[in-house]
Order: sequence, then C-alpha cells, then structure tokens
Amino acid sequence: MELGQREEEEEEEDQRQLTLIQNLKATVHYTVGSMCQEAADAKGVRFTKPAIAAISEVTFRQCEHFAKDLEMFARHAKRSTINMEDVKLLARRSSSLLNYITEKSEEISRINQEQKDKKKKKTEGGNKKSSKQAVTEMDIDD
Amino acid sequence: MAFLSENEGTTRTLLHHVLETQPLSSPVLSNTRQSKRSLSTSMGRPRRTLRDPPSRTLLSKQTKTAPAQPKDIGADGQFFVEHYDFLEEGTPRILLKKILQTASEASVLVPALVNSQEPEPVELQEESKWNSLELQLPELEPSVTVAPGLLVHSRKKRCLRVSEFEQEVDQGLAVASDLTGRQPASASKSSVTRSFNLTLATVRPPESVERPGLARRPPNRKAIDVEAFEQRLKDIPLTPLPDCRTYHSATPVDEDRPFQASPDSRGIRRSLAKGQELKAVTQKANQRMEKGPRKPTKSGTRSPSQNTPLSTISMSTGTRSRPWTGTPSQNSCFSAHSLSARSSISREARAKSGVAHQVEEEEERLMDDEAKESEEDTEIPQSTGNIRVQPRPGSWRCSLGPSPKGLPADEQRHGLDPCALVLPGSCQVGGAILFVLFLIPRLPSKPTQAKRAPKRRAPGPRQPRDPDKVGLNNYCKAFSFYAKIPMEKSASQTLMKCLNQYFRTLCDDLETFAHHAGRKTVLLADLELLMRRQGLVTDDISLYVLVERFLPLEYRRLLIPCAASGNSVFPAG
Repeated sequence: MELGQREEEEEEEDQRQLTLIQNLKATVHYTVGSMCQEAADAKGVRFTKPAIAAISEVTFRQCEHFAKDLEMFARHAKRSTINMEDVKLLARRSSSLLNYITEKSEEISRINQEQKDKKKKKTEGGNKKSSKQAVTEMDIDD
Repeated sequence: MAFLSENEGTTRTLLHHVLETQPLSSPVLSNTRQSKRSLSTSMGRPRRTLRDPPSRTLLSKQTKTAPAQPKDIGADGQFFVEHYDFLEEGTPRILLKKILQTASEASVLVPALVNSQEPEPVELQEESKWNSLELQLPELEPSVTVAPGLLVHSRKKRCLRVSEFEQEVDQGLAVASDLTGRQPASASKSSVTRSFNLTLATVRPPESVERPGLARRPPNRKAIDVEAFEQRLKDIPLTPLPDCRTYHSATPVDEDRPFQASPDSRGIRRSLAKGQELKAVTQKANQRMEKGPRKPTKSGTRSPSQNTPLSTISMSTGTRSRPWTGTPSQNSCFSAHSLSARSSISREARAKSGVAHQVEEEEERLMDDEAKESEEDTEIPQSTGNIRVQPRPGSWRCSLGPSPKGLPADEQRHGLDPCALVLPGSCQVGGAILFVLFLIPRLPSKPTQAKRAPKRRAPGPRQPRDPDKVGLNNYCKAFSFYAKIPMEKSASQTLMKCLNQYFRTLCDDLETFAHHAGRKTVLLADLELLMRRQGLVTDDISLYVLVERFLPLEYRRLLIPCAASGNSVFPAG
C-alpha cells in the first residue's frame, strides 16, 4: 500500500515537473517570439515559426546549463547562494555581455546603496516599501 | 600424426620442425583458420605436413589467409606460416630469431591444451625424424601453456629455453643422444605444467597486446632527458626586466580580447593543478614545455649582459632563471598574455611562501615536461637538480613588464603561453613567476629570432612560427594520423591555431576559477570544475576514473615523483 502510494506520488510529481517544464518552455517561447518580432521589425527580416521554436528550445536548454554552472560556481566558491560573482563568471566568455552585466550590477548595487542610505535617513517603515519598489522596478527595466 | 595436431607448439618449436624438415618444403596447412583456441591444431598442422608430402597450394593458401587474419599474439601458427615462406630465404638462425622476437611478445596465449602433452613424450620417441631440437618440444611447450597468471614465470622459463634453443642451433642440432636424455626431464616438466594447462580456463592476451595501441599514440611523450634539459637551462641567461606595475590594472578577463588576455601557458596551468593530470593536459604541458627549452637558449645568447642583474635576483642556480629573462622585448609576450594573470597577481598579496611552493611544484612539473619534450635540444645546459625559486615580488612583474602593449602578434603571445602567466595565485612570488616564465619560452623579438633561427633548425621552423606551434605540431601529426587521409598544410596550420586558442582559453578558465574561489593558486578543484564544465567529469564519472583511464601508469610514474617531491623538479637521485 505504501509503495503504491509512493509510486503515485512520484508520478504526480513527475507530471507536475513536466507541466512545469512545459509551462516554462511556453513562456520562453513566447518571449523569444516577441523578441524576434521586434528584431524583424527593426531589421526588416522575417522569422519563420520553426526558427523561433528552435531558438526558444536552444535558449531553454542553455538556461539549464547556466543554472547548473551557476550552482557549480557557487559551490566552488564554498557558498550556498548564487552570487553576482557567479553570474559574472558565467558571462566571461562574451566580452560585451560581461560588460553589460558588470554595468548593470554596478548600477543595481549603487541603487541599493542609495536606497539603504535613504532608509537610514528616513523612517524605516515607509521607506522600505518605496525602496523595494524602486529596486524591483529597476530590475524589470533591466 | 594425430598427436601433432593436438600438440601445442610455440613458434620456436615449429621452427624446430621447419628447420629440420626444410628440405621437405612447405607444410600442408589445413584450410581451417581457427581462433586462438585452435592454435594447437593449426600449429600441429605444419608438423604434420612436415611428415607428409607437402603441398604448396595449401601453404600458399595459408599464407594468403595469414595476413587477413588479425595479428593475434597467440597465433603462433600464423607466425610460423609467415616465416615459413622465408624459410628458404634466410638462414634458420635468422628465421628463428625473427620468430623468437615476435613470439616473445605473445604471452602464453596458447589455446588451452587438453591432454595434449601426454602423448607427446610417447610419440616423440616414436618419431625418428625428430632431431634433438624437436625433442626439446616438450620442454618448451609446458612453458607456453602456463596460465596467464604465471606469465612472468613462463617468460623466464622461456628465456631459459630460448638460450638453450639458440645453443642448440649454434651447435647445429646437437646429438640426439643428448636430447634423448632430456626427454624424461621434459616429460616430467610437461606433467608438471600440465596442471597449469588444466587450470587455463580462458586464455587472455597478455598485457603486451595492448602495447601496440600505446605505440600508435601520438609521439608526444619522450623520455625525460634530464641532462639535456639542464644543459639548456644553463644556457638561458638572466635578463633584468623592468617593473611593469602598470599592467596590473588589467582585469582578469580582458574586455577586448578575453581569450588573449591570458594566453599564458596552458602548460603551467596544467602543471598547477595538483595531483591528477589528464593525458591531454600533460600533452599540452609537454607542448608548452617544448618551447621553453628553445626559448631560453635564444634569450641566453642574445642577452648575456642581462644576466648579472637577474643573477642577483633569481634563484640560486642561474639556469632556471635564465630562460625567462630574455630581453625585454621578449617579455612583451609575457605582458600581453599574462595580463590576466598579472592582474590577479597584483590583486593578491605578495609573495606567499605557500604560493611559491606551489609555483615551484608546477614549475618542476613544467620542467619535467619540458625535459620530456626537449630531448633533442641539447643546447640547454645542465641545471642543478633542485632549483629554488626565491619569491620576489617585483621580479615577476619585471619580466612581464617590458612592453605589455607592444606585442605585435599572437605569435609572440604564443611564446608566453607556457605557464608563466597563468599562475594566478602564485604569481606573487616573483622568483616563481620568473621561473615559470622561463619555463615557457618567450618569443624573442623578431630580429633576435632571426639570429636564433639558424641555430635551431633541428627542432622545427623558427622564425615564422612560435615555439608553441612547434609543440602543437605533435597534435597535427596525431590528427593527420587518425584522419587516414592526407591533410593540407593550411589545414594543419588552422588546426594549430584552433588548438592554441583552445588551450589558452582552458588555462584562462583555470585561472579564473581559482580567482573565483578567492585563491591564488590553481588547485585540483579548479581543474575538476573545468572538466565538469567540459562534460568530461560527470556525476557518474569522477576525475580519478578519468585519470585511471587515460593516464598510463608509466606517465604517472614520472609525474608523481615530481609532484610529490616538493621543490625538486626531477625525481631525487
């Protein structure tokens, strides 16, 4: 009885995992499609559907690789949390991407620092909310 | 005749028969091409034919099929067949020696004989034709039938037998009476060894069978020629290097050219990794090392005057420090390549003894690899056994300093490639770095290169190529070997460029990983991480498994003493 229950649970989990993966893939596909649309409009080129599907599939798999690499890097640095350093290490191959990420990280840290300073000056309660919103907005924009 | 077919025979025994019955001409070999297990029958066939009137056709068939068969070590019959054709061409002694040479590799891989030896003594007596040599059969056969586990023992026996056999040949087939006396002895021996035969469940090829595979590997590995290497080291002059602090600002990853920023020697990086080194790594290191010895000599001749300043700085023995000194122009390569390394170095603390230790170990390994590679290079002077690199914070930078910017071409970078740069953590140790730098030959400036070119024609092309590329030639040769079709020169050059870039990236990654972990030295963990990213090391396959699989014991034997010996490059003694 217990074994049967466990198997069912495992199957359910697998199904959930699959659906989760499918949802993620669908999200990635949608995002890739919209980005391709923008690029097509900008360059005056068209993207075929199989091409967009291929790009989204590659992107998804690459994300898996990134996640594994990030975890490896964090563990290599004897940390249990993935850090900005890990992300920079991941992006070291592409110089332009590395520059971009470095700039953004500096910007974020700067903003966070400013927010912290503001917090210290003002009362904590109200300022926390505003600072968090500002940080999240910055993230979205990035 | 029946017993003959069952008789298990070595090539030697077969040759005996052949020699005896040479006038009888070719034996009639049956058509059956059997596996190793049926060697006895195949080997028995020639004997049978010796007695029977030979038929050339069968023999020719056999010989034709012989090459078609895979060259089994146990296929003594095959050897016999092959040699038989030449039987009349060469003297029996020569033939016998040929067979013995080929048969010696073949271990006891003889098909399991079942009760094959019992009838031998009886039948031998019956055979009047068999001369004294033939009577030795029972002696030899038992040794052959020894189980693989007793291979060594059997080989020893065989050695004895060979000498005996040769003595017999020299004597020109001794008197039969002498041999008859051996029969009882041989019979007893055969009975003794018979027990071994019965235990032969499966006959497996001896370890030597796998040797051919090793022989086919790229000829990167060479025996360490310590003396030659030391000679070369002595020739390397010491040159002072201006301090190049300005370069430290460079980030580990060059923004413009991430891969070129730290060309540094992959070799060094590899050597940096403690413990296991994969074959590829060692090969890389070897290649890198090659450049080292050549470079130092060049630099040595060019700038003798520079020796004095460096001599004060560098290690106790001038040999090691010389290589890297070179001229400032040479060091441009260093600077260019080692930007990343330097940056990391500059960041980290200065001269840590531990780091120096690490570096020295690496250097030693590099030296070792260089020694391996630079066998033919006799210019390098002898160097003392243990070279201690004194940490010198400034010196390392000096070597790099001269002209970080000026490096014209990648080729110069190649010169730097070897290790020196990469030592991320250990860089602080100036002496160590110097050591590393010289390990990897730096390309001198072009005019100096031109001067040196005539000196070193033997190792390979000089001026147009980097020492790095000369080292990569080995890869190209291996590549063309396995490609099975001819390769263009341009293809080889492209291949070398790709390999160069690949190795640089690899070493760069190692340095980055070490820096990421907040360390100054590349450790085994960094190498493991790199391999994990490459997909070589997975959750199923660990690093040690790969080492066992790809790093042959003979090379481990060379590496381990260097790695474990601390500061001494060469194994003690």
